[in-house]
Amino acid sequence: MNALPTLRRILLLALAIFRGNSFANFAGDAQTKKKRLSGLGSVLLFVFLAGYFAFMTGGSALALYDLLAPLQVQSLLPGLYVSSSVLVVFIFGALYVLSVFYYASDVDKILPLPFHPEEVIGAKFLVVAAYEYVFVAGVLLPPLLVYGVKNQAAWSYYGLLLGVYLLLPLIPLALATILTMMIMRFTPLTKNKDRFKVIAGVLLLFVSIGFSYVSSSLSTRSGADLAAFFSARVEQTARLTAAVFPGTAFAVGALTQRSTLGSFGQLALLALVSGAALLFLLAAGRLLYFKGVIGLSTAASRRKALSGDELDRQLGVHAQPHPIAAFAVYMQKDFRILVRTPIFLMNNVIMNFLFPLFLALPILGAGTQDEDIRQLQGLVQGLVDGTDPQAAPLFLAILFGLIVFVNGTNGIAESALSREGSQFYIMKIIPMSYSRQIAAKLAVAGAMGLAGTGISLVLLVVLLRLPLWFFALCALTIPGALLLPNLSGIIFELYWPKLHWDNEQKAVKQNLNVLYGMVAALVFAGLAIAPVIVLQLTLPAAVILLVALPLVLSAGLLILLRRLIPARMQAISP
Amino acid sequence: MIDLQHVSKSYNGKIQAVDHIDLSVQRGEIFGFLGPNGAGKTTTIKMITGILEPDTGSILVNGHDIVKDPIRAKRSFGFVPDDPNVFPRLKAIEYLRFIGEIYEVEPAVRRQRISQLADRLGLSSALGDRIQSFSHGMRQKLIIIGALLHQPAVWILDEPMTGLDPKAAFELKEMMREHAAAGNTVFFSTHVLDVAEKICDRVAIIDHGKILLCGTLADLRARTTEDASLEAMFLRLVEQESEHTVPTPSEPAARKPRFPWGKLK
Repeated sequence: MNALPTLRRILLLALAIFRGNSFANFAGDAQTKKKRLSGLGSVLLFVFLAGYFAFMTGGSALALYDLLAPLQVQSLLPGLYVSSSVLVVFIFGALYVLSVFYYASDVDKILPLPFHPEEVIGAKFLVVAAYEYVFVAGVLLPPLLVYGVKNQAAWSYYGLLLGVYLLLPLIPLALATILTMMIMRFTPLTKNKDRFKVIAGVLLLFVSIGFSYVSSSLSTRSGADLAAFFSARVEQTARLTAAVFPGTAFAVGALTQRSTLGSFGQLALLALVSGAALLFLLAAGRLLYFKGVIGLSTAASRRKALSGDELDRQLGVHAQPHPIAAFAVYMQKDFRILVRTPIFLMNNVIMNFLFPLFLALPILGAGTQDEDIRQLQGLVQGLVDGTDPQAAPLFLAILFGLIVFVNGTNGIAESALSREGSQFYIMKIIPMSYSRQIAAKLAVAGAMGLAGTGISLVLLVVLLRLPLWFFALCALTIPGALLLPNLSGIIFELYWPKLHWDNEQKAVKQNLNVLYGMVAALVFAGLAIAPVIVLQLTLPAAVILLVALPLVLSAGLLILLRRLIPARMQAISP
Repeated sequence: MIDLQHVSKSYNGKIQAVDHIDLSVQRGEIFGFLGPNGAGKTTTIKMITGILEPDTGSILVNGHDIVKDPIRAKRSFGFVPDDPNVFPRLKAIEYLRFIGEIYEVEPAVRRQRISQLADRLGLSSALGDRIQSFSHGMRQKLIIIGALLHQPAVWILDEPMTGLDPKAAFELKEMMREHAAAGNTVFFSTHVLDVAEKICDRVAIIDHGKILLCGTLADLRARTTEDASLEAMFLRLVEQESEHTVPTPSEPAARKPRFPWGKLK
């Protein structure tokens, strides 16, 4: 096969695939000026988030350098960040590969086209690699730039860093791709696509939780202790990653060797191994990819007839007639779609319940040595024995803010219409008023939020040993704290629903309303906490502010919604 | 049963999809709504079913105004869209329970009708499966069951034959005949002129958003002064209309080519 035309076809296909997943899709098809602006907003948001992430990783490298330099072990830093990047690429890469190679909506369109397997694999690999480069740019570049500046490295170091950055993701990504292709080819896991997506997503969440737990544990160590910990663990981790991902040692060598020639030699070796990995990937892909992907878009089913009893039960034949049966069945429909669609389950439902866990882990991981935790416990003590009159109102405001935040970030109300997608027309043709349908959607969001909130509160009460009377006060704030973010979320949806999507992911992950919901939740939380701190409110005043005011505001939003719903729903064209 | 008076709809204020149409479909009638791609059929159906609001005019379904009294109007019809896209993550039986509750069909009645319709359309063994595992035709059948569950006075179908196997297509035609024979109305759009010719009591031909002709087949033949097939009359009418209509630059690309089966010789 001629290499140049093949490369050209790979690039063309990669561009076509990439366009289908580009930022423009954040705001639907970028046809109108409004949508183009919205797409631009998404890019700006991404740049802002990437900048923030780079600031965080760069900042961590700065702190670590100052910690390790006195012990003369700062040269461990490139090893640490190279190993971290390799692991990040491998873990996230496997999931990206799953999504781009197997579950993307373009798979069925590409398969009938006259492409060789290696062309499809090459193009899809390029798409995944592009995402990974963005990600690695945040994990690897800022810390190692900081390291170079602090270490007064020569100019050649920055050239080598660029080379390492470009080559490093290739080997772990190629391995992740081959591993995923083997799983998809040989295991029965893939028969149920939805279940597989959920399992993969949950695994990723556990990795994140583990990371959160480890970071909070590390943050409690003292300087010398941490430096000793790093010297021991970083070398061990670097050895392990070098063994699993060939080439890692060359990358570290290129950045740490004293001789420039030796460094470039290491980079050349990294390039050689990476090239070999890519060739191996293409060869493996020829054998594995098409056999694993063909037929994947068809969902499995039992095709087993329901018995008469089952039919009776499923259709509620013996159920007592109930005036709210239609409302309940509408809620049930919404709930089922929410929990059975892997993307919605991961992003809306599980995150809603994981948030309390994310909250508890730093408290559990940090133990009693952490300064922040000691302050928190001091505040609780002041609340329990009444020695600090500011403790109870402040704590109540913080918990109110937390409930608002949990409900504003789960994105359930903020994607309530968008999740309907092309089935939105059903909302228009069924004989149920739009207000009632929206109320059912709000009820689902509220019930989910209440469950997440309840777990958060119980965890906090147990972990921080909060008194029960205070728990009761917190419970009083729940109605307002639930209503405010959910009502504002549904208003965003009524104005800017994202109905035109070909992939469920776009309804929640590329939906600006979810972001607006988060911002609104932060504003509501800030508006509740700020007066308590600034005006040093007493407990009764704080209770009035946090219970009554949100309810009054929510009542206002409800009145607004009642007026908005008929006109806005009529205006939305499916 | 269906009454459209001076109904118009434009998109973005530029593209006139439906242009002041009047249409009346009576009880017991099977009414075929024909026209080339982009003629305004689906837009008209979307307005009748409340998916879109007309810019001007009024639409009555079973005597209820779809804009002013939407809930009663919606209770009166069952709708089968051209794209049978319904909640893929629900099981078929869950979807039918949803429809049954929303349209307030008595549980025992809904049980009996679902069994009967599913048997007839060959869907009984798939009722416990998720809709996402269904083929296009199976989804179409499921929506047909859902649309008939509350025995609507008006049954509206948009390109209903697409994706159906010959047996199911035959059953559907029979069901349309039975529905009309029971004193109800069937209103459907189609490209399949043979079907329209065989089962419709009356047809209307729409192009460029205007009704070109409306009546029984005998009326149509009388007006075109020849004993031609519906297909021949349709092609002649649409061709004449396109000769009289100067295309405007704002017309959407979707309207071309004008005929799904190619240009007339």
